[in-house]
Amino acid sequence: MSGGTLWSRWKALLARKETGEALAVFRILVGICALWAVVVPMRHDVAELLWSNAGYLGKGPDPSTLRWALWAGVASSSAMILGLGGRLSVFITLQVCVFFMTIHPLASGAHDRLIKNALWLLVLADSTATMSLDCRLKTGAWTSERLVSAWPRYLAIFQLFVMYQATGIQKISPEWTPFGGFSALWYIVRADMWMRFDADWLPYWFTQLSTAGTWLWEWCAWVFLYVFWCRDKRPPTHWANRFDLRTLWALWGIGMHMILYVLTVLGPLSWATLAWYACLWHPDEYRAGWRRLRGRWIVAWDLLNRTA
Amino acid sequence: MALPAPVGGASKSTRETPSVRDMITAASEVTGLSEDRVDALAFGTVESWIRLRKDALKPLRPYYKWAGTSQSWRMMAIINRRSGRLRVDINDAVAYRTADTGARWRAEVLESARVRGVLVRYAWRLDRKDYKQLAEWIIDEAHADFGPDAAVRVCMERAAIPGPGEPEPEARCTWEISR
Repeated sequence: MSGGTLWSRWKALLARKETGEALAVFRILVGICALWAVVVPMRHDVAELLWSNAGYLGKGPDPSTLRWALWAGVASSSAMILGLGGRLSVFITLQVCVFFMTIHPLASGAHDRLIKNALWLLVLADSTATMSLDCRLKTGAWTSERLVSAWPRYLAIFQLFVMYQATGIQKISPEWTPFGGFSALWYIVRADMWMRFDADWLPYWFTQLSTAGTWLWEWCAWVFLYVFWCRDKRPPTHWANRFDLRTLWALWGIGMHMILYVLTVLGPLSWATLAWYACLWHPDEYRAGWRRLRGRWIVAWDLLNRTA
Repeated sequence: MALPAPVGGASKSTRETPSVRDMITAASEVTGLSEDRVDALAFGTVESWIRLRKDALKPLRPYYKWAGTSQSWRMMAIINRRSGRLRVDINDAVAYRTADTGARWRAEVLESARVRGVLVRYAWRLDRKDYKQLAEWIIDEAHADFGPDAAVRVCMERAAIPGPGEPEPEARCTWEISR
């Protein structure tokens, strides 16, 4: 009996619908990251060096085929940003990314894997229901209240939890822990291959604080998942629902990623991770946020006109 | 696939890192277990998980290959206290050195994020065969820019990253290739 209950709960979860704003924002942000990942190596012939048979490894397609593949990536990721072509443009972007990673796996980083995971999720999701050219062509409006499956957004939230929890647990170097004096960031920002600039001015206590903050925050990712569960299953008076702990958790994460972005050269890793954050908020919250923002603009515009 | 795994984190080089040994000694003192036992418990569990993950994912390989969902969610699990940088000498002068503002020949290529990602492997003394191919390419480019008679030397300069308050150690050129 309990198995049947579990199964029906699972089916009910998969059958949940919501409007598509969160997935649309996720699609746009992932599209920008994918475009970045393809366009940046086109500068100074870096792509040719790494991914063509004229490069240093001599592996991959000839330079002209490579250019076609790169431009296909530019076109498909741009179409994704605009919301044109539905799942097809996302799938093409994904295949372009898979193609480059297969040629020279060492030339790809964690950000490529994050982008590819997000792209596959977007292939499965209906991310162009609103805020897209597809929506404009179908309905005559840029936005729509058409309902889409909610599970891709839930899966994105679960992937964020897995990513941070696993990354936290797998930080096995003592430098991440009190045993190593929380010194990890001190060494990371001084590694020649990662440093963005000379970090000698950075005080040791700051790197210790950032290391401890990152490590503890990642280890506590299960709290973030619990908070989401409480938002769904517990009344608003429950302790986890009295404050928006989810936004607090997100702000902490944004801060950590910004520190990493400013101090190190890791490609679009921080942006590729933060793109997933778009799924943290319910579509209703996006709509309410947009209404508030538009209301303020109208007030400001009125005020400006009256003053003029 | 997108299942966590500290791939590389259980390697012999990681286990023998002085900082990891210090941590095992500390854990041994706290728990009262022998160092060998702590080592076996910590790394044995990691190794078992990696094996289990590999076996579980084997039948799904075609799926995650084409879906592009290979991700072990391991980010900066290991901190390497030794840093490495690429150095190119042309006619006995330093033409390029990673992050050196005074030696910028071909820096826009050699310091792009993707090339840096490759160089990190060489800085950690991995994939030497690939490194040799990159060095040969650099030498060819230098000869194209400075003439075929230019003396070009490529190496990976390695040095320990100094801890807080420690002096900057002398860097050593390794994996030297010249033509």
